[in-house]
Amino acid sequence: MKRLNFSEEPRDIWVVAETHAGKLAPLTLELTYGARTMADLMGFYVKVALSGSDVTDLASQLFPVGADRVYVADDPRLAEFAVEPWLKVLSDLFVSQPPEFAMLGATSIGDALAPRLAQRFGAGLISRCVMLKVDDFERAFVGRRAAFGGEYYEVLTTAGAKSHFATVLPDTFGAPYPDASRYGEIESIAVNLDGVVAKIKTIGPVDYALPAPKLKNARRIVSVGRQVGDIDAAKSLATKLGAELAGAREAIDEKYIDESHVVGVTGERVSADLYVALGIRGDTMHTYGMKGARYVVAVHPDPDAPILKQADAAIVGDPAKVAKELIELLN
Amino acid sequence: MKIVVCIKQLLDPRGITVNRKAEKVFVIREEYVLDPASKAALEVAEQIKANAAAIEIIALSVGPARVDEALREALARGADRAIWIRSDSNPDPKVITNLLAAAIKQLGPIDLVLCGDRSLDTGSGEIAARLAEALDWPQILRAAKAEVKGRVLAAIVQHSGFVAVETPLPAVVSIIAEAFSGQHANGGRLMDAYKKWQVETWTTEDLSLSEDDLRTSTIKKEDAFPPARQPGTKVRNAKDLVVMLKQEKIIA
Amino acid sequence: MDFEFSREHQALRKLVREFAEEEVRPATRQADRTSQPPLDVIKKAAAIGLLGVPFPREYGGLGAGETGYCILMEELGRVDTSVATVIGAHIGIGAMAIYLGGNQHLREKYLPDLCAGKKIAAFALTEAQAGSDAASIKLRATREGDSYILDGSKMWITNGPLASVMAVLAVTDPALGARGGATAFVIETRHNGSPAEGFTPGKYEHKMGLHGSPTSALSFDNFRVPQENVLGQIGLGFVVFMQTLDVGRVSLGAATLGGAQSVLHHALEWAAMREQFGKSIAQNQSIQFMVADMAAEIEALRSLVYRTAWLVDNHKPFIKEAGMCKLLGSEIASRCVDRAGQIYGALGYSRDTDVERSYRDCRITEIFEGTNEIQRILIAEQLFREVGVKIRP
Repeated sequence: MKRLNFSEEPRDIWVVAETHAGKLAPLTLELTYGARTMADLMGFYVKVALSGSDVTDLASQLFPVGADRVYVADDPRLAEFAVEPWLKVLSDLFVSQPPEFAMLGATSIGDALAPRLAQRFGAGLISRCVMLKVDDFERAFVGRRAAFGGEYYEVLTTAGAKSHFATVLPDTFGAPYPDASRYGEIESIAVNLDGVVAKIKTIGPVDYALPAPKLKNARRIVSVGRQVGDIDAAKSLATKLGAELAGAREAIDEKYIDESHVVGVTGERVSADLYVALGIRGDTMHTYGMKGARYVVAVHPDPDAPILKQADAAIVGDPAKVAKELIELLN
Repeated sequence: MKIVVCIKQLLDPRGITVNRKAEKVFVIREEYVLDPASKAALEVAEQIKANAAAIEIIALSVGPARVDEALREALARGADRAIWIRSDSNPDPKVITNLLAAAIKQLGPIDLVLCGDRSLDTGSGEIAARLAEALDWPQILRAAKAEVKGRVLAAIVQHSGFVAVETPLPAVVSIIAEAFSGQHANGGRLMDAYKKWQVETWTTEDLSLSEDDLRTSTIKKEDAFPPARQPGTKVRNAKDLVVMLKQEKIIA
Repeated sequence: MDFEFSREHQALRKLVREFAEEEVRPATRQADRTSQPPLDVIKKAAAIGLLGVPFPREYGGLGAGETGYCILMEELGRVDTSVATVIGAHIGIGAMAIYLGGNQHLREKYLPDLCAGKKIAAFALTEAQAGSDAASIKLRATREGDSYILDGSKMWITNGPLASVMAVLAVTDPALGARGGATAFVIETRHNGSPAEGFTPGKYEHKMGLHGSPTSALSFDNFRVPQENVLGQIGLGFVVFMQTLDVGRVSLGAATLGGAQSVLHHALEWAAMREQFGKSIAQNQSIQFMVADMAAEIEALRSLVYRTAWLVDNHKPFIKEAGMCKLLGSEIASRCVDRAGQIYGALGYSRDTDVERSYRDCRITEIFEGTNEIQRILIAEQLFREVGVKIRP
């Protein structure tokens, strides 16, 4: 474990930036904005570490959302993300400027880097936060993260460490309100990749089929009833959501599903995180199998359909139409 | 060749009920199970072993005495050796990593370390990358399958598909829970795991770690609860629904 | 006194429960509808060792004893009595007769394949004219050189159409009758899937329930068995068969325990959700009384079954208790399923529910493996024996 030398109190919140196709990732802007909000409360600086190739021009876009200083590691060898070079750049930067607080996106990049940085520097780390703030008394991050698939949250603090890291999911801080009058400094940092080799070689896309989950273990289910209207819309929605298609008992009569995909007292009892009931009335025979689901969305044309009273989100309307709109919105 | 599989035991989610209104988690049935991602990692180890000669699979788990059951299940699922790293306190990922890494170093040359990716309970998914750091090895995260042909070849989740990657040994690879085939433990091995084979016990003293290595840096404060859902909440249209689902973190 | 299961038995229960929920449950309805045994499920059970639960490890079993076997039967019975019956007839009477009556050679020859599920076993005792009166069997075994020749037929044989290894009881000396003149054999009725020479399985019986458990008659015509395949001693086969049935009754009790437990569980869940007259029907005392009675009976049965399994595993006398397991188990299961059906209302009469299937499935448990009337006679016989009176010759 490397020791960070906190000779002075750094009083800063760092954001590790990501770019995609020559643009700053929306999550990076959101994190910078979130860092700004916290920094204002604490009287801190917001610093952004921006690595990549041809990224210097992007740095100024970080000022309106709250950056005070952007450290740019602009090097062709950083064009594609790879753990070892990126880690080396950030590690060198953090050794020279020990971060008190640092945020990364809860993305494949953040998931790869944050645990390594935290382990390297003995920092506290809260991963995959859905809420994050600085506890000004403890001078630590306090963050919420989903427990058991989001049924509730675990509240964690990094109070046991001197350096505080977090990875943050999108929509935690909300869309930034840019302030065009804000300005800051850009500092180009020397990239030293001597002896650093990216050890993971990407070969390319590959076809791989995960084992199909059993209906009762499926995380997402689109379930249909007689009133679904257009079964193909429901099937497309299931594909879009990565969900299994299931149904109420009467859906067998319509040949929408087979017997092994019935949810209810005459079939399976499910425990999905998301259960979308399209055109199912929702008598007890069906809801018996559905009650283990965490979040139920129901769409039914009849405002008196019992399922609408039980659903966490109930839409009175044409299920196929709503399904199509959802697919559109999710694209 | 030696493969270490780091496994996690957790409270069976089917045994808990979350009451958001009362802001409480009720444990109705206190039963512990092997995390599906750990099962997936054990399965990958077994597949690697099936395709090569002379591979020893060593299962490691950090925790209180109850993890013995998970380790015996690991033996039933193909592990040749199981080591319980005793920890009665509440270790955070940093401490767990230090314990695992020290054990891995002590086990002598290890070629591959497999972990479950995000676990079903709190799923930080940190351990594999932390272990790679502690061991100074390359890491492959979120793999659905992995094979060894002089190097590690893996298919990792990326966006909505899979990407093939490779890295030299030794390496750390985390396996996603979704890759688990659903294969059940072998009954004969399960009985042997209880009646014939041993689970070794290692304590922190066996692992020569500093006080600093064992100090937690991330601490759980409490549980928090989203507002209780209102059954029958009317939503006007698909657009509002998407907003609600995003708020609930059900879709990204 | 220790009412805790051993750690390996707890682990076994978890394994079987998971297996039953994940593999058996999805196949139950199809098997019930089509009257086809879910063979792939049986294969999967075999692959993880569940077809050899009670037998020692050296024969390829799990070495989990009668207690382990009862755990298997309870957990399977909880999900599907048909699968419990296929596996129960295979392990608990078919293979068990070889284990109890066979010498080292026969055990080593047959048990590993049976434990691994490479072959399925059956137990052939009943004949058209010999049900409760098992002693009046007529299947003839005639000595011919170093073999016996079987001629005659059996009836209502569970796994009859599936099994390739059977324990069969035949008359070797008609003058002596069953007691002294009947011999048990282990026979191979199929080779590579085709019926062996001289053996013809009957057609699948159409039954009220247990549709996933195939039953048929068997007929033997000049069927040759080597002499070395005699289980136990010549002329003392009836003893081997009765001993096997004694053990089998304990696990049958366990299967009915699982079935009863399952319908109680369904009834509770349904009663909690079903609303009539503006409230959950669980708030009606009539429903509460039913579930309380079910639970009390189930709890008593559980104690009886596992105490009896403990008697078996500890080599203590258990015949009376085994009869009680079968008697009480089948009757408690029938009462529970009847009450659950009442709680389910019309829904419980629908072929789409587990309760309806359980209703049909459990009826046979009062009949097969010795009718409940025979159980009462056996229990009474033991009771009088305890006060020094012999009531049967």
